[in-house]
Amino acid sequence: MEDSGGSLTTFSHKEVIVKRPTRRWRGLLILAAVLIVAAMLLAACGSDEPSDDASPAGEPKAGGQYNFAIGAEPVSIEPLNTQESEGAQVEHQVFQGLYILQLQPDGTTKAVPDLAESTEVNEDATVFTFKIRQGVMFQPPVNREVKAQDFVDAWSYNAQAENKSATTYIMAPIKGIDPESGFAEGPVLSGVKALDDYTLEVTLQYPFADFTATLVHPITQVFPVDYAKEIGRKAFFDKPVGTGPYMVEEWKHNQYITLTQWKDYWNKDGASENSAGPGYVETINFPIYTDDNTAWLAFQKGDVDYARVPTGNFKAAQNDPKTKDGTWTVEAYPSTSVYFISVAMNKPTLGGDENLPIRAALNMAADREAVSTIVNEGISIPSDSIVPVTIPGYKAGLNPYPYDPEQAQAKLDEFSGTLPKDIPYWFNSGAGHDKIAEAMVAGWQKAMPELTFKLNGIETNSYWTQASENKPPALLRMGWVADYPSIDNFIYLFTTDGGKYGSYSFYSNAEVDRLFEEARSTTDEAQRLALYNEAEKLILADAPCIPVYTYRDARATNNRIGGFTYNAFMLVDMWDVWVK
Amino acid sequence: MIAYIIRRLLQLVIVLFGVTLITFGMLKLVPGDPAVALAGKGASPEKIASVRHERGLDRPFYVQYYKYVERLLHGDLGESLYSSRPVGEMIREAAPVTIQLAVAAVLIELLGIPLGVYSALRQYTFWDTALTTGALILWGIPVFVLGYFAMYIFGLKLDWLPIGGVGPTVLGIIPSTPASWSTLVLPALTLGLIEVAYISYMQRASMLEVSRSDFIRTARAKGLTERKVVWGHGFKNAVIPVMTIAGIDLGVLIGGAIITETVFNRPGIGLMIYQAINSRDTAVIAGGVLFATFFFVFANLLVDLGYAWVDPRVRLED
Amino acid sequence: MAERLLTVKGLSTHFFTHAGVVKAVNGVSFTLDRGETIGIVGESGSGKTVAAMSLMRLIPDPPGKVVEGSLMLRDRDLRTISDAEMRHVRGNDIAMIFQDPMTSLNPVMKVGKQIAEAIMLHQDKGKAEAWQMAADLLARVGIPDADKRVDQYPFEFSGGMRQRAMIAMAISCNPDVLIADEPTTALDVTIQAQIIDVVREMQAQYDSGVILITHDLGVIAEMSDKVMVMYGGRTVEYGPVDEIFYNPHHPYTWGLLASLPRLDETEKSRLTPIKGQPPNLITLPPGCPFTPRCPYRRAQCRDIWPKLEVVGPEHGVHCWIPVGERVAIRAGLPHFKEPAV
Repeated sequence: MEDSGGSLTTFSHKEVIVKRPTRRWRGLLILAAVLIVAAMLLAACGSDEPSDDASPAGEPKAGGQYNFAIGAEPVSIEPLNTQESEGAQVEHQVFQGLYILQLQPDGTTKAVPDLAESTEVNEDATVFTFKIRQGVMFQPPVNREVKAQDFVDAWSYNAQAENKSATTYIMAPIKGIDPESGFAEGPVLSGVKALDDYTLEVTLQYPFADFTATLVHPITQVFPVDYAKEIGRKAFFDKPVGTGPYMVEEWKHNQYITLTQWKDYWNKDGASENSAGPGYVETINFPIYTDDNTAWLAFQKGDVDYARVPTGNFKAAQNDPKTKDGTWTVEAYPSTSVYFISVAMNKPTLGGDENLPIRAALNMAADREAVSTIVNEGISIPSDSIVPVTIPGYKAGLNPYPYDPEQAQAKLDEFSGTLPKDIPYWFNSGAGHDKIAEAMVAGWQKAMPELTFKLNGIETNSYWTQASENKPPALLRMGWVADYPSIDNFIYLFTTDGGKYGSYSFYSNAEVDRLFEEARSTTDEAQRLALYNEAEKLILADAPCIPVYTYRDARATNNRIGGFTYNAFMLVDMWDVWVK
Repeated sequence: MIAYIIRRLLQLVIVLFGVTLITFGMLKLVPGDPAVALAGKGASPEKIASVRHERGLDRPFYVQYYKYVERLLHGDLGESLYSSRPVGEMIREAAPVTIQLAVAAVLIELLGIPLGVYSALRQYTFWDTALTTGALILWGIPVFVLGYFAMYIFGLKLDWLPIGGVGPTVLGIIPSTPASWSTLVLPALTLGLIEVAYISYMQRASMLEVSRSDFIRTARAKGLTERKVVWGHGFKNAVIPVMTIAGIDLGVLIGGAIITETVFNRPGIGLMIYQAINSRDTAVIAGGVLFATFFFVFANLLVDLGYAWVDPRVRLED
Repeated sequence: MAERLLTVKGLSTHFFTHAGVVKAVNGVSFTLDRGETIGIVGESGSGKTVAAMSLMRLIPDPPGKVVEGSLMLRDRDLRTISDAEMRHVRGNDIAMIFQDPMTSLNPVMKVGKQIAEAIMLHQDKGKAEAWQMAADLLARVGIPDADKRVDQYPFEFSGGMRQRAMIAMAISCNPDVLIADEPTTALDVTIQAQIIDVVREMQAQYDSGVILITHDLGVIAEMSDKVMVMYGGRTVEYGPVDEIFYNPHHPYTWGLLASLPRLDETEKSRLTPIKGQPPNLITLPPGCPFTPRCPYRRAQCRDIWPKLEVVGPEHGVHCWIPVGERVAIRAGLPHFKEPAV
């Protein structure tokens, strides 16, 4: 209202010098600035001290702690509901079943007998009789011998709908499982019987010669049901009891899981060759890192002895000085996964016999190499097979349309109709599938310029719902990971059933179905694998999919640890691991 | 004052119900449902449908919500779809971790007040420009970038502080060991510094605003020292709007906690919500959001009480 | 002869802004004696407040600066004493009452404390004593229940009471010079008279010199001994109150007086506003700032600042119009047709 008074009372520069606080602030600021600069300088220099325990491998020795980073809070670490690799990793050290996964010298991972001393199978592979090893004990506080009845109880318990397992589909072949709901028909599975203390008879609903392979899965492993019922669901969930060399010490949710060595482990003298050994380290700690990048930092710092290499860091990790000087090992381990692009075979765009030349040409011009090297940092193994290399029975060269971009156009020219425009290619967005799709399309268009595609990224949850409902009109991104080491897992994808529920290709070929059934009832392993391979050949000839690659897991291990192995199911036999 | 608090607490109840309703509504609107994941791999549509039915996921939205509220009124927050763990228990475990971080971040955030005052006093000088620019830059950096960077420098390269995790506490939230304190430093700084930037910026603006007001001129005309003018007269007035902002900011802070907790591997409410959202775990999301809302509203109630303490106009008008 | 309290000579205060130099006050001179009241009158932007603030050294620096002149409080040079000494002058030797009592009190501090603060600072009193004195002062400026009111916050006071509190604060240390900057502008008319009374009473009681800044000539007429008329940062006319009202010599003063309501005039022609815009203080002409609005301007007005011309006892004016012509023009103006009684 008066005069040029608007800014009259701004604190003036000269007058407002508040001597003491000013000096204090300035001091603090300078201190902070110095600290930050110093920190950056120090960081830039890096610490080049050589690791002090670069001693050669040497002999395994007992004691110490193994720190193994897992990437999420497990849904469960007991047989009932273990589902993702995080929970499985823990469960693998604590629980045992009739069979166990074993990494073979040829790189495949096989199911071999664990608590089963012997296995007998009837003619058409519908009845399996297992002799159970004597002297197998449950961990404290149960401390009693495992009997055949324990398997009956455990399997029956797991299959009850009220126990809400998400993995009962593994037990689907067993008689007594309702095919509709996937849960048990009664309180006891009718197909599972204890003939005596050490003899277990399992009757299947249909022939399945490779049934033993399913017996490596957590849901078929043994645990003391009476004890679980006694202490209650919640208590057993937190601290379950098995028969393995390591016992659950503590599950601090979302922070860590700790296992301790069971000194009185039943196989401590190694009587059972395939079964877990007594172990070396006393404690196994599984710190839970939800963020891969954080786990990776913790690994570099030495907080953990094992971590995933986060996406995009594989090359850098391989070239890290600490990798070069042998402090760490950075490796990509082949998994049991296949990445493929399914074709909606019951849709007109690319389905049916008349479109076979297009599907074949898409196979021939699929630039899998580019996907692997450019998109996946060279981690994935380009593959034109629907079976991963790590699965017994994998055979290279079965695809009649191998990569040959030069010939792809010629193949396409065999097509007599009008070429489809803007072929729809659906994928679930996120996790880099968009980049893979782009690389695939680039390869196809390079070889066959007149083909056009339309990419459609869909939110993950919604994507799988739509795929299961046969919504995608032509191409859809798929992946499949084996639950157990059997080629059956993958051939199933392209049976009539599997086409609906597995590959979402809705492919159906009576001959394939017949060969699949025949393989399932063939007890001779070599014969059986030959039949599966024959079915696979037929499938690939019809080209209901375009296989792209088998993934490898990029992992880093600290060489402070010896005896590290990593099977195709991402599991580490931690009883073989020791601290140098 | 008591009536005021009671009124606010009643509002809180309404807000909490509104929030659960919105949470349910949003989860219903986004595509996809957890039944596919729950049914297991390669499940037939029939199996998926049966899982959907068993878990009540096929019931209409209002029925699901009604059931939820009914259980909520009995103090039951439901259970996780996947692990079947009670949500109440999950929140009890996670809440102290988040509260610890939030309290620490707020304490750091308060540093913004003296920084803002300093900046205002030295308007247009080097330090003012440095602080203001620094504040704006910090404010613009995403939490996760700052978080990784901090861990890389101070955790990995310098090895001064741990990378992620939490330590033992007393009374649930006070770190009880030096190691436990050290786990708090980086996440609290990461979360707090960004807010420091904001608060100091607001405090500066507020202080400049107040410094132009008539009563400051009056104070100076009395012959008071600049210190008394600034702190005795200016500061208390200038801090009032900043307190309000700081209260509202708590919401931002909880949002920031989702990322901060994930990056720093702290098993708090933020991490819980993050994981639950990824898997559409409705009851867990709703529980987490409920807690966050409660925390936010409650903290704002505290701010309002503080406001009344500072400003007699609020205190005496009731 | 009363004691000379203030001697201001050639005071110039400029603000150095991005837009240019704002010449808010240009060569203003005046004196103030004990017991005397000088009214500074002029429209918004004429430099009244800046001149007063310059005395208190409350001009924000940057951008403001006293660029010229001498400011003497008795024998102390207010331009050269230290900041600490200046703080001692403020509130103690020179106190100020501000225009808007609603905003000039700290809203979150008790009224008593705002008064006691100055007492504790300047008179070395303890807290209890200072509070008691504050209560006494509130009673003295006419606030009922002062013992209770002293514990209240400004928002619990009415506008008039707040201005009384401001006066209590200003007189708390018995200042020699009291600057009242538009003390009644923001108040109701009925309250205005009360406040004027309080200021007058206080002046009588403490025998202070008062600088009354206002654009309200009515208040000036009621309170001042002498008047300084300012325009565009310059003193255009200066003299005893009767001289200014009955023998005004500057066209701007005529304009001011013409805009004053007169009892003997009809409703229609009551107010005669001065035509034109207030001056831009950045682009002031070197001569008389009133030139663009002056109906009687001459060739030299814009470029040369006229020397002080004494036209009566202690009555001076800066104007190029020759004195005889001035009287003739004035006589022809409707407002001055017959000499006011």
